[in-house]
Amino acid sequence: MSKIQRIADAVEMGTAKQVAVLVMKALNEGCDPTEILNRGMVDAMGVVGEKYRSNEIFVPEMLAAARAMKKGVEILRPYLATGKSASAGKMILGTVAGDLHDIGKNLVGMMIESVGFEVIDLGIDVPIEKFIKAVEANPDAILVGCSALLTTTKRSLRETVVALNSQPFRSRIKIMVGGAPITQAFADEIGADGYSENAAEAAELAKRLAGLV
Amino acid sequence: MIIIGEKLNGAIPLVAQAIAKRDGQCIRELAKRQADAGADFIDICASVDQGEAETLKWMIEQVESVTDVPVSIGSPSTEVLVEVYRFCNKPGLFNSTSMEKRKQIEQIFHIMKEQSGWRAIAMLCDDAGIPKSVEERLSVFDAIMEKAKAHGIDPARIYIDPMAEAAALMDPEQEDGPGISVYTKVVGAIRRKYPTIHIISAISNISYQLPARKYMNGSLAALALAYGVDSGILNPLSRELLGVIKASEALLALPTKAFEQLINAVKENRGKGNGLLKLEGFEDEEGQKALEQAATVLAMGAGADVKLPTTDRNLNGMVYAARALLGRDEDGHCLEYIKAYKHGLFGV
Repeated sequence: MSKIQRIADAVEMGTAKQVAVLVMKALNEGCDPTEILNRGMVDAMGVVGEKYRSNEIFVPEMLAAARAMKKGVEILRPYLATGKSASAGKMILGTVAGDLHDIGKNLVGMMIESVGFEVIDLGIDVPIEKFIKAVEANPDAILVGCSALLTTTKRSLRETVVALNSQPFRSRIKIMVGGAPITQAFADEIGADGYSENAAEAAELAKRLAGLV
Repeated sequence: MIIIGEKLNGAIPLVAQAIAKRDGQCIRELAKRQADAGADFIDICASVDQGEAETLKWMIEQVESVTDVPVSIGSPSTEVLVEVYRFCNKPGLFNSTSMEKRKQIEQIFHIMKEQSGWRAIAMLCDDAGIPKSVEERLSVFDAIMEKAKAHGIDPARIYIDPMAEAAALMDPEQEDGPGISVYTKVVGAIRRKYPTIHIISAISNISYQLPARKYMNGSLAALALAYGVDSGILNPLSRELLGVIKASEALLALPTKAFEQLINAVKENRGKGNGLLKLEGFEDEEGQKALEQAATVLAMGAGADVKLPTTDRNLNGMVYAARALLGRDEDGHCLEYIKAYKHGLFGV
């Protein structure tokens, strides 16, 4: 079994310590850091997401894999040349104003990071202006993710997306939305570019919206 | 345990449908069944995009037409709570307030000052979300109690929700200990400080995104009671959950010596040792099973270990769940629980 494959297996198993050791070993033996990241970890997370979607694994297993990958990335980071950044793109993420739920949003953030994006998490109860300022401050952001968990904050989600839609930067970003009361129909109605039902799907959606697949 | 029946929630598809069609029959039946099962409050939550207050008013009418059990009004909006509580014939429970600014906790306490029968659930969170550490969560608690004191509200009218977070999402490396230890430490501290205050938990939240949820719910209920929780938002129609709750209460009410003997019996892996207890309202076998499960989980909470797997699948489910909740799951956050489930040691 190749070193990269071993890393991929350890990520899938969610064994963080093992991932750390294997990544260090692979680096010492001269493996290409970008290769370790993409083939060893990002691809493995793709498999994990797929297994979650097909109900083969549960959330804790997906989370363990995402945490294991994070450990690996921490070790890898100094070796990844900044010039040829391996990042798939930058995303601004947050739960809309009036809503304090962060579990689903954090899960989405972890999964999207795990498929190679850099995620700027604005946190919970994020006012519209904060989303707008974050996109302006990050000219390389290509995705904005907004979460709403309450039927009462659907309105807030609508206002956020409508406000983002009227910004001059709108054409350079794609907006994705999600949360328990949100549906594809609602996402279409408020003018978002995409909706996903769970964190694994959100990662796939992010790749699709970024034109990576 | 003071039971707040959770079944009348618009987030449940069947109830959402009944609300949309104004099918009063369905709402009344669910209210009656929960009351008959021993619920102390019937929670109602509309979960509608528009017309929340009007929907709640209709739900209150349905519930009050079939039972005297008071209503718990569930809404994230304080405006709605304030508008709707007047429609209740009997004082009930506000579900809920917190230290979030938009919740305007003073407004709820102000009403409670005027309306002496009303009570309120107060969640330990503020505008920064749910605090991660024990210390921060307790400082939110202190802030709530300060407001209550300023309004002259007796702690016995307050139901503190210390926020048991979903076990599936617990961080194995969180500060303040593994598993539900932040929660148990917060509960313990509050109980020591305020013997008469109510401490409440939404029991089913713990098992979010996990298989064989009843074991997680049952284990949490037993452990929560042991640490000083006295109220639960839960499904009173689940005989198994109710059994574990009643059994835990019976065991925790034993004299210290008898309880210790029981714990020792479990530690020595004899499991039972409680044949003398009888659970009121339960058939002998059903009651014994519940007692055995509760005794095992309580013993684990007191430090005992149980050899796994046992020959009893239901007991396995409880033990693996308790291990995960107590942070003894070696792989961290529920992975061992899931592995055992996948190996068919419990569940369907």
